[in-house]
Amino acid sequence: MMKNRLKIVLLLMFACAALYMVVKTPPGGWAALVSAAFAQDQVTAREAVVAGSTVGEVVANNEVLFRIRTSAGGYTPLERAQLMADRLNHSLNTGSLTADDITTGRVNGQDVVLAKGQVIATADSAHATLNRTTPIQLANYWATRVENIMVRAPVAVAPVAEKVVPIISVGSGTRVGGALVTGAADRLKDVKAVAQIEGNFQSAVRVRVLVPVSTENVVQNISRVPETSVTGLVDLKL
Amino acid sequence: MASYKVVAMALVLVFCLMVFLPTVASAEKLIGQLLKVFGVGYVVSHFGGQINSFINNLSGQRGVTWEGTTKVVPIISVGQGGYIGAAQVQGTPDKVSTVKAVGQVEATISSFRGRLLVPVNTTNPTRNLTRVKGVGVSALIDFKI
Repeated sequence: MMKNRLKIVLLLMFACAALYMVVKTPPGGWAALVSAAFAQDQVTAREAVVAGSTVGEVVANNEVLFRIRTSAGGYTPLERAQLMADRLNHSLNTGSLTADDITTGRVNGQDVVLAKGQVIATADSAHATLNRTTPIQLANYWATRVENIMVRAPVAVAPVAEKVVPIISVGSGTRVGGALVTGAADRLKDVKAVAQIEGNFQSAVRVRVLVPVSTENVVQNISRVPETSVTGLVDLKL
Repeated sequence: MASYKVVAMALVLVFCLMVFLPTVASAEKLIGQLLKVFGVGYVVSHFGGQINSFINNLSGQRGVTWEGTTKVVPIISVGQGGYIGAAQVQGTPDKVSTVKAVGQVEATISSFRGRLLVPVNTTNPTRNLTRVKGVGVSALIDFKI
């Protein structure tokens, strides 16, 4: 009699446990939760020395997502990097990231990078200054890095090529030399010349801006070809 | 002995400042005088930011903008050593921050003279130069002495 009662109690307990697991199934299922608990962090933080300064780096897929150079809020650069890595890992544990999940915005008056609406990194003015840019541009740049490194599939690197084109003075339209231009092969075929824009800084400094362009008519139209740049000059000895 | 050298160098520095700086009539001549006394490296390190902004404004007036960031670094002659000018480099902020100079390698073929401009991670031409990939030269800067 006692044994039968025990069996009934045990059966009831199993039934309750089964019902609980069905009702409380987490997003992605129990298997996902178990694997997440035992999974290694995809994003890590590490200390590095760059140009003689100790910095914190947030690393994913063997690439540096952010490089934290300054302390803030009582946290060292490494501690800040670790916080960012933890936040990204938390976002990943709730499901994989898509490009739409990575956004930028303003929180407490500062430009930030968000993943699934949660703050991942703050693009403060100190880092913007160190990167010679503005906080909003830095936030956009960091968001693009997260997208490229963590979300998008690795993109095949376009073959790099180079060619020599004439340098044409923007002021006069005359050819003033030749330039070696390097860049992605599909972009390089559009480069027809290098436009030379001249200027003087405080009389003692002469500046020549060299812009790879898609037309030789640089007097009326300077159409820069992106992802290409000048890597050499060719002069004719007279 | 070392202290004598330091004192001697300090005296030379003070002498140069006394001789050259009072003759500077305006800010326009300041860079020229500093070039004569201290060289290209000094001028680039102290006026690089202003020159960089000037170049970006000059480009912007013509509707030319660059992705990423830019900065001004000295050009070093890889064969002969020494600073021979300056250049503005352009690229992503993390790569541009590692560029310390542009190495210039010269070659002559027939009547053509080629000058290869390579962004590198050191200003010392005697050390191992490592090219910083993904960074290009966007402007050349000549100094009038």
